Amino acid sequence: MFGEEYASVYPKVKSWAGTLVLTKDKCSEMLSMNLADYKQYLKSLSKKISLNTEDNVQLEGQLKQEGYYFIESISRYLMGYTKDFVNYLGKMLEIENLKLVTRALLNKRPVNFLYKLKKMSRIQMEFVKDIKTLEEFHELLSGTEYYRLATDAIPRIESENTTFYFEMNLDNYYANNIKKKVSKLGPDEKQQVKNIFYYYMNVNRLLWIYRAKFNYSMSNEEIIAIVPNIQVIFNKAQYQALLDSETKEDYIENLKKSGFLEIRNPDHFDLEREMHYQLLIKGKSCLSGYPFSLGVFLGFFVLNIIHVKNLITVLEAKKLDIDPARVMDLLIYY
Amino acid sequence: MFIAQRMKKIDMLIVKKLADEVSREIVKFGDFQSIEINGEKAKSLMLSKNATDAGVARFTDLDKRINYLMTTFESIMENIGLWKNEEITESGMTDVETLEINVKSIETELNFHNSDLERLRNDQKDAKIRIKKINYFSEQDIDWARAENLRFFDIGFGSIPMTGYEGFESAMQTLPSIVEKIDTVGDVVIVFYMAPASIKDKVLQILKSVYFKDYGIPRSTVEAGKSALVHYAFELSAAYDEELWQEKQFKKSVLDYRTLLKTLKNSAQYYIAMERLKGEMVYSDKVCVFSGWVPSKIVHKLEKKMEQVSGNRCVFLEQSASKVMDEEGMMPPTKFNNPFFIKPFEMLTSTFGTPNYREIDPTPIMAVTFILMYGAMFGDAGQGLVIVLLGILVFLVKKLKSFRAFGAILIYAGLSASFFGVMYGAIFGFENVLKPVWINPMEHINDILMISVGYGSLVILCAMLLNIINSIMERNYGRLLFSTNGAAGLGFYGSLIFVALCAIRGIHYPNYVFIITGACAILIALEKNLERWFFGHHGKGADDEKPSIGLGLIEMYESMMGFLSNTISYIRVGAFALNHIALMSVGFIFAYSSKEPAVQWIVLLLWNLFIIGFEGFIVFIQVIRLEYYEFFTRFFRADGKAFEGIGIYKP
Repeated sequence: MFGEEYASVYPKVKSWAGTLVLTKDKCSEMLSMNLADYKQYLKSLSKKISLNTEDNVQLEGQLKQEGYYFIESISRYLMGYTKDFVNYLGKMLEIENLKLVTRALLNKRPVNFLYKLKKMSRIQMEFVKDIKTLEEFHELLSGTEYYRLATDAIPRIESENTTFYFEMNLDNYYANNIKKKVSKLGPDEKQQVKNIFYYYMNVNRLLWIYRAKFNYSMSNEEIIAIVPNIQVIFNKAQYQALLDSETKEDYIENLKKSGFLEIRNPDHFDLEREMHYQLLIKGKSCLSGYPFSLGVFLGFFVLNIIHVKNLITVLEAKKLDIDPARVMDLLIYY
Repeated sequence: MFIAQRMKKIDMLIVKKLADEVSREIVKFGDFQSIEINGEKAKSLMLSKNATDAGVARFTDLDKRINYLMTTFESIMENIGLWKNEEITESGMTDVETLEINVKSIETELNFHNSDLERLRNDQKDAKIRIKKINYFSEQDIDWARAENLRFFDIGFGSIPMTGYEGFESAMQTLPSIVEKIDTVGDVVIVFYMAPASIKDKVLQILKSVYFKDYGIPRSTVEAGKSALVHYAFELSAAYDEELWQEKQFKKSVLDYRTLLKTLKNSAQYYIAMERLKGEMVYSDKVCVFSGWVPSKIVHKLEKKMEQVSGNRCVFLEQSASKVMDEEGMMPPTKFNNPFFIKPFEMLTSTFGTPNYREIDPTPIMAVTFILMYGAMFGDAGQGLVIVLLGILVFLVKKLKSFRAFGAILIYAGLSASFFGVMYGAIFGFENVLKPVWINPMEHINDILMISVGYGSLVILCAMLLNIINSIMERNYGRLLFSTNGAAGLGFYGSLIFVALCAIRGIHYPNYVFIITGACAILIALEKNLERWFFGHHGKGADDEKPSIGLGLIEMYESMMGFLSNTISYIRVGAFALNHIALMSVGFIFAYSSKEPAVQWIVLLLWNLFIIGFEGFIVFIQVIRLEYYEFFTRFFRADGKAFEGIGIYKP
């Protein structure tokens, strides 16, 4: 009744959250280090894995992998529909693996990194490392829930030489399924999911719409068909207004009107960064809210994503020797 | 018993070309825990390490793929326990090449099977949609033959994957169109749409985005007629039959793969162990060196084996664990050394921690106190026997070792509960059927509570004695003499217990007892300082910072409170004995609220079952709590590492 099932979740999450790099001071400190010290620093941050490589791609993968272990760890403390929901968050990484393999096969490049998942997933390195073509991959997917999606998508991937439609289809599939899982949660949990997790999913979907509209010049009908308003964060009129935006400025203005976005500094504006900043604020407030709730974990979940994003941005910047002042602008912190 | 199995450190030097063969033999031998020789040490000996990470990863990958196959096959066979009784002999092991080929070939067969099933399910879906199409169009009073040549309208009938339907519906709503959701078949939605021909391009774009599969509009009334319906119904039934046949055939193949997969699994694990061992070896051009822990009593067996394998071309050095500890500061791993009837309780000890090599293994004492306390707290002859039966069931049905241990603990606990039931004169809650052999707790409440506290004091004294023994074994004399649970604590607590006993019995006690109590209390308060003075700054357990007397006094106060609260904590042993009777009497009140004897018996039966499950579990938790927090924490450091033999595979 008072969220007692989350009593064990809270201390764990609080302890993990202690090392997140999300403040201005921590970001500056990170930027002042040289590459070797920074890699050592990364190793000191990890909680669930030992970062055992110097390779940037592998490091990035291991940092992201840790997020999956957080989900697994928390899932052990939960039961029933909440456990189902939290476990399904991990599916996101299976879908990410699918995208990585498809991209690699389309570009005829080796698969460098895949997330390590539970033993019942076939979309892992052990199973795909010898696969050379999309047909072979399609065959590997037989017996899995993705077979049907791949059957539809592979001809289009090959003919149009892009994985865009397949990836969107996978995201829609995930969004539909997570919506079903959420429908079984209690009212408070539903609200917390809507506040933070749906917000996170919609950040990505809104960026897709933005790109589809202004970079790929797709028609409204096509965008609706590809990126439907699955979580219904916006009402019909708000969603239509977004689609009808004629310029990028209109689009941002409509996002502002719908209460999805606040602009801190109009002269120095970047849509993706600004939306992630909003996500950061939401995540932070969840983490410091009522301790015995699903929101605490969801808050941490999104904050960890932003944290890893920051770490990887700095890693890449150090590799390319970019001016720290410029990198600071790319980081998300409060 | 009481101390871990004695270990020896083995250093072996062999000819390099024999490394593979020697590794194989050691893995088969099993009871060998390798010691990592670090890179720096190897360099100083002009030796180098081989990178075996790739080898370990290769076999770990294979192991994971085999696990996937086993889990999939188990679910195909509806979890009948395919590998439960599958024993593998040494001759069943496969070489690396065969291992890889076999895994690949089984995977391919599984892929074929899955693809065939997908194809058949697709055929079924296709036939179902066509049948739906005939039904849908035959219900309309329209000449569909003319629909093909419509000039102003674009119409269509087909399926859309469920994931895309929401997008399709929303997108079509933005256009002047009609969309009808006809039905759902599997993971697709069947739709009929109609839109002006002028926006055909836009509609096509949407259809393409949502992977619309066109089933067309019937060209003639014949197509929409009964003969077509029969045709598709026949196709559907054929696809169903083929699916059944396919599944049956594949189940047969799964049974054929049973032994092979188990063999592959063992082989993969065997190669993983071998690669790991090879990774611990250091090499020069001609020789290789490696070290490990082996239980003393079987060292000679390993030596013989090594001499045999290498044709006496090996150097086999053995050192006693105590020498290694003194000279190299290395702590050997712990392997329990208990007789079979105590073994199940090792599970409970391990849950708290593993004893280090130099300390007493508390399992035997814990086993005795656990059994005693469980029975005393849940004393009922009848319910105890039910727990025994439950334990036997768990012991026999569940073949897993951990469950068997739990089953055995249940049997002991049940027997003890029955014994105390006879002592208390209680059977299934009835207090008037058996005559108490010893005492009826409800009639002697004070006695039972006093006995519990007395028992608690004995356990605490015993814990302190164990701590003294551990301190001697660890040569930690500061802890031995001045700690709360050392000689000073024993003097302090023992003298107080003595005074309490004398007071209860009305015996006069000498006044100097309080001098002992006071002196011991001062020793406890000055523990850190005394340790520093007597055993020096670098003495074991001495801190770097100068100890504060004020802090010592606080610690002494805390220890005294600890003694008091821990002793009183044991009162729960008696309290639960009373609680059991009280809870059972509630059951009798419920039962006798009805005048029907049959109802009374049913209520009593259900209440007994409830008490066995509910109270039985709570008592279990309480006993564990007393063991862990009141007993173990006084002497048991539990900072050891369990011995992990390298041999997973054993012929």
